Amino acid sequence: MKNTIAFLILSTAVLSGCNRFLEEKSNSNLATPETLEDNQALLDRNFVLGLNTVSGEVSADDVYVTESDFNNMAVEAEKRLHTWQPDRVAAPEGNDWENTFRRINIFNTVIYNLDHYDIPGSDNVRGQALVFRASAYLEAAQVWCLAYSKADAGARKGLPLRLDPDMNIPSVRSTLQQTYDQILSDLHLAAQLLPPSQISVIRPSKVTALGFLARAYLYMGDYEKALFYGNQALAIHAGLLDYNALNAGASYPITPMNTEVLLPTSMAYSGFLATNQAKIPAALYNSYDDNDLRKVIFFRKNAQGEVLFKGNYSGSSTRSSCMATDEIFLTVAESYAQTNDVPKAMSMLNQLLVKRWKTGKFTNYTAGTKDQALQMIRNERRKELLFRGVRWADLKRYNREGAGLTHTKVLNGVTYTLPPNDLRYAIAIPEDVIQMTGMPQNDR
Amino acid sequence: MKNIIILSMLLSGTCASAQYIVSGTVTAENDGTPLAGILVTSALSKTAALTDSKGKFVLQTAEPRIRIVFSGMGYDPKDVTVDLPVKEILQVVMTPKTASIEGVTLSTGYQKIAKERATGSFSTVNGELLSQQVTSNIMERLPAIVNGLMVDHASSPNAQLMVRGLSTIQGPKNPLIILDDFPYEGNLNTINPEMIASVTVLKDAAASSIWGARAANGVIVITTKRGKFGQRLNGEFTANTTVSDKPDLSYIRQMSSSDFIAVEQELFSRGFYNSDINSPSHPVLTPVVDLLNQAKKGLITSEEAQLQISRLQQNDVRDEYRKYMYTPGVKQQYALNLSGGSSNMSWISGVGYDHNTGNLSEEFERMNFRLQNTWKASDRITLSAGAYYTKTNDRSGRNGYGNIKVNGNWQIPYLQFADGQGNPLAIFSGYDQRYKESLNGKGLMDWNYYPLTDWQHTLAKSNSAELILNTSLQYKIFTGLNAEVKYQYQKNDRDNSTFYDRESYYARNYINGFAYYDTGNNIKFRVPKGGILDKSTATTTVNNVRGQLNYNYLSDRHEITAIAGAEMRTALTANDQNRLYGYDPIHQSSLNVDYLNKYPHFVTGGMDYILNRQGMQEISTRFISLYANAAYTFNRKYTVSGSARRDASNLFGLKTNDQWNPFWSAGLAWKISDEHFYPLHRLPDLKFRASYGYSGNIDPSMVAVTTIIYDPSPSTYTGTGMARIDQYYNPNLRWETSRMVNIAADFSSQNNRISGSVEYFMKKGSNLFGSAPLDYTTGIKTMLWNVAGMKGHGIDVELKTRNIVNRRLTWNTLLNFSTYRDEVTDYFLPNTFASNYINATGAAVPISGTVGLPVYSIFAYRWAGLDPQTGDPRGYLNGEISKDYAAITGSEKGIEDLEYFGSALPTTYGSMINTLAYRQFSLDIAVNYKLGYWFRRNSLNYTSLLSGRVGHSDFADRWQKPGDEAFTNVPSLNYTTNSSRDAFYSGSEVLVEKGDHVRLQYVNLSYELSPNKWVGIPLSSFRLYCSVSNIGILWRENKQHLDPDYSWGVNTLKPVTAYSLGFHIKF
Repeated sequence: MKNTIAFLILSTAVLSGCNRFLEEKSNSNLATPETLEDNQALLDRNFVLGLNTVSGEVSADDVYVTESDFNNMAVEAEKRLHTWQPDRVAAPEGNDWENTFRRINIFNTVIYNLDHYDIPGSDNVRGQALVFRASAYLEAAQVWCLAYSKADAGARKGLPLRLDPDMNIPSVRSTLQQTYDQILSDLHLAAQLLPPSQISVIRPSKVTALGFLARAYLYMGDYEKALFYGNQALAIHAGLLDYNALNAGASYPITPMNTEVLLPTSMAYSGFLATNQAKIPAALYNSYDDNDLRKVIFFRKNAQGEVLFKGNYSGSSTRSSCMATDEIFLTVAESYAQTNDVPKAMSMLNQLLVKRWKTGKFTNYTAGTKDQALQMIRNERRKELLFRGVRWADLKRYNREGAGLTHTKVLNGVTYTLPPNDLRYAIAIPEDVIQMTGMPQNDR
Repeated sequence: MKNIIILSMLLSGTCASAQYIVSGTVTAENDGTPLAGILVTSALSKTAALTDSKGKFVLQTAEPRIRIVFSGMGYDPKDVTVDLPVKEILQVVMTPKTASIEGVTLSTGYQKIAKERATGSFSTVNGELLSQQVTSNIMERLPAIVNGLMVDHASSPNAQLMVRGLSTIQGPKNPLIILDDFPYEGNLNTINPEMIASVTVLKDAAASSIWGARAANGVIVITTKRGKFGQRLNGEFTANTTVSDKPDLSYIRQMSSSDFIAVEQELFSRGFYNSDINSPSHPVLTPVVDLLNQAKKGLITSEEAQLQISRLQQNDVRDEYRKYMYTPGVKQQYALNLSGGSSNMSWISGVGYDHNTGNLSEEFERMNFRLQNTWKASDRITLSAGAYYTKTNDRSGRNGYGNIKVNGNWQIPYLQFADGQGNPLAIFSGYDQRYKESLNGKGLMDWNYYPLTDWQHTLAKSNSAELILNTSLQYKIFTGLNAEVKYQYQKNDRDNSTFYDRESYYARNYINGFAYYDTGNNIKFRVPKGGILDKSTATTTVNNVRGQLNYNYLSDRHEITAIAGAEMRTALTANDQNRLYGYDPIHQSSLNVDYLNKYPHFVTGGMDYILNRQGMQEISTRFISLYANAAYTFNRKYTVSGSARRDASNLFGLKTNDQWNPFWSAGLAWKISDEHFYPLHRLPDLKFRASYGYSGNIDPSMVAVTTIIYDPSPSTYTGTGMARIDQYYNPNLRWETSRMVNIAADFSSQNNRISGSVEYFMKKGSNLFGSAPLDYTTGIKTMLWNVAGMKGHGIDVELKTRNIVNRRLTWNTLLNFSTYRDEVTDYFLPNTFASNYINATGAAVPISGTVGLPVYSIFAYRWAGLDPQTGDPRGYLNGEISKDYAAITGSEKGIEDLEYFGSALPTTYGSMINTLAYRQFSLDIAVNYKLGYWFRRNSLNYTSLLSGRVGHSDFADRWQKPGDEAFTNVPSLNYTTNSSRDAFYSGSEVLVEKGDHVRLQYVNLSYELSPNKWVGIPLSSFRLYCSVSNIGILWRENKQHLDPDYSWGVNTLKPVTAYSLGFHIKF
């Protein structure tokens, strides 16, 4: 019996040491995200994900695919998306909605952690997370919402605004006004929290926040604010690549992380945007002057003479959707024009274009009227920001302002038409999400 | 239930009138102790008795001369013939069975239980039954012979051992493997089957709950052979060779070359390949497209192209694989075991050597050494120590079907590996062959891929050394109570490497990819010319310490066995991996590369880093457990038992207080045949037992906080770590709980002519974890969630019959019959989209979301036949025949729109092993069966064919013209992809088949030489044997000639038939 007692005492002694014994980490790579470094690590990985949306680019008019390539596409939903079908345009095995909100969840988790663990000195990380979140929502609003207009944004459907990582909170659509309010408030806060520059552009800085503010206000049609924030951004950093310094013969002449890049992001894969399949319409290609270096830096022809795009800001076949200074120059130029300052508008445009043309060949563009200026700037915007994920949003807002752009595609003898301001400019939310959440689908 | 009634009818008999009384005592040969529980039977007089605790028995008989058979666990049976009446008391001495523990002792890893007094459910197989099969992995032998055990090939592509059906939905489903006393962490290939005495499967809660949380999927206890005290030197030696066929490649449902080429020709003319052909990044073309393109460009004449294409039409890549890649396999096994003992010492030592050469010339080599000693230091102290050392070496061989790649998963049926003289041919791979040829002489490494010889330049090796040391000290505190401490140390060092030498295509392709032209237009290399070596090491160290008190009390009326203990377990795995460039194996030298900058690819120009494989990781698991188990038997007839356990572990993110999981079970047993009122004399042994157990399971991945996991390498841009979310905290998760009831009867007739057990079990799982599809607006597509409740029930019948027993001929049968049915009782998932219940080709069967249906069910889209005009498949949408495939397969359709077929798991399964022995010959025939289930076969997918170059032999049966719909369900070819149309067809009811089949698993013939005939040769037995395994299917329900166990994907091969020849001697 004595031995039994001794054994019991021994066991108790062993067990009291248990807590320490059990505190050993089960995997050396695991952590609870309690530190600033952990949360920075979550944000830094965003760059390698490559999950930015493709729906806009697949739907817009910058690329086409041949009929035989169309007939060979593996994902039916993408074929529907390309032909502006009103529904079932999201592949169940993976789609933009999933990729967008997966990223938003990471940003929400970081913001939650900073508060939950009361992490000191978190301004920078919080600012980065806010820029990431706002940029994701801004991009999403271009895909799944109609163009913003102040008059009816309170009545139009916006996005479900998930700001908390808790997956038990149901998804409810906000109004378009609420969606943009959230985007703007995140960006404004971020601009206050962030330093003017970071150790790498994969981390958003104050310039990045201002750049997205300029983009957001431009999309909203608030040109005074777009101008203001665009100029603020350029006041901190206005670096532009001189295309004369690039090797036009290279397969991908534009180096990644170059001086223009403010936030490098890249799109998910789509067969419609694939290197060999995505073709550039001849009219678009021909609109580049022979002295415009972009004609050789952005494009190459295949053996059949079809034009392929190689001007990715990723430096590889990956389609980049980065925020960069060239976009801000164009935003500022357009905003000047919209606010009737044509000379400044043209000056901004020319500052950009001189870096795109062969040295000494460029003569400054001039415009007599606001409309002329706008027309020129918009043409150049399309030519500069090809494959950068902004065209769909631009088409939407140009139509909002009465551009009256109608698009058609003819495939297998069927003509598909997208009239101006069509409800299909708000792409269908995946049907399974609608089924699961009860959120209303976009109007058709 | 029907079975029980039949049995009792069979076994009821009449009472013999007794005139004589025979009494005696039974003692053990080795130490003279009286033996209790020995069955004493007289066949002639149909009477039986059991010895009591003093070894005494009394038998009544009416015959004047009888033969009495004594049998008991762990002892050789003994025959005694006596003339009656006898004057003195019979003294019977029984010899312990050597080197094997008979089925009547059950090992749980914590204690050995006499089956007589067990309340739980155990299946056990002894060495003899195990040795009927010749494999180097013990687990491969179990499904064919163990009751209640099945390999599930049906619910997912990964074959899974399953004890009594499903216990959990999520998480690891592997049963816990115990080697002697402790869980075995490691590759089961390291265990030498020749060192195994028996295998016990713990099937119900009463049996397995002692192992706690890890027992959720059943426990398999492997008991090694041991020496005996007071035993002279014994040895056994076995050697065998197994030769296996080449695999049957005709089982691959490959599209014919002529069909494939016809499609390519048509697609070429429609311009499908233009974007690739014209691309500046030079993607690879197939040989036929290349020929067509050359002809189109006028580089060759179209006659020449046609001639070459018509030659390709004659090729079948399966013939190439058969001829140049696959070879017959050869396996050799040798094992020697020596054991012995003195009065206070027992020992066993063993050596084993296995050498296997597989069908692809891949090699496996294993060496085992073992020593185990037990020393009775005094009356009170027993010490034991052992060592088990295993070294295994694996080497890769040739490439199997589908592994010689042109691009991605393309399956080109007309590839050729060698020319007419057997010289290696380059196959098109990676980039356009004409482009590759244009680079010849520019200073790059040869860019051709020669599959015939490439395997010689790509060598994957895995070497492991494992040492297990165990020691135990048992101290007898007083009679009946002893304390023991057991310690086991296990260390496994594994080195894996893949060496691509500089001749390998992998290395040449990689080096060329990073080559560039310098300013003088000379080729330079950023990755040095030389081999590429991938290395990884993994070291696992496991420490187990267990302190246990064992209490046994035995009197005439009372018997108590109890254990209580505590154990601690730590397991630490350290992984380390790296890659070396420019590796020279002779000097073991390598060269530096620049990992920090991106460089353009030579062909595509895409910027990329040179791959850095450096990484490290440590995984540590720690467990503390407290457990107790007690059984009390009254009057040798009534047993109650109980078991309880708590575990705690260092699962990350859990608070210590949340880590203690309770498990408990209780059981009852009633030996009704020992009751004086027991009427069934033909069934002298009948026991009823029942058990109930409860377990609560917190999944390892259910954590109290959100956790993140760091990538192995930091960000190149910031120099700091990158992390992703590993697990999400979910405050709404509840504990998974499961309950299991087992009711059983064990019986044996006189002389064990019929013996066995019938068991009924029922299990109920609540709040089972599963992967739940969420509204992915949350950012999470699927998440561990309480998805369902389930209940399951089934019957396990194990029947051993001795059909013919005479001096020359015996015929024994072992029949295992199990049923298993489960159903969903609750379903918590937020959606029931039809498409969620249709598994895509090659994907696991999803959990069915309808209460009352099996957990894994086969559903299908309803089929309305092919369109007679177009050959399009047709389904139903809102009751109408429809071709709106996106809608039919879309999320508006619910599970209620689908056709339900039945369970995806076999609902009836088992095996039958017949053993016929005639003189010295013995023949074992094992048949397995699985019945009552459905599976989805794969067929042609046009999207895969057009954009993925993956065909299917069903193409030949496709609809081609009106009228074809009368005899085919394979849709027409449209020359445009429609993945929804394909998804509809592959999920439709025409592709659902019944899985029922009966398989001839193995036949084993052995010949036992009678050593007593050879004077002077010191052998106690000599057995020659030959066996054939994986013979094939005897009967199947499906008409497609599919083996339902091997029907996943297009490339699945059936296991090869193997022929073994060997001998086994004892001395």
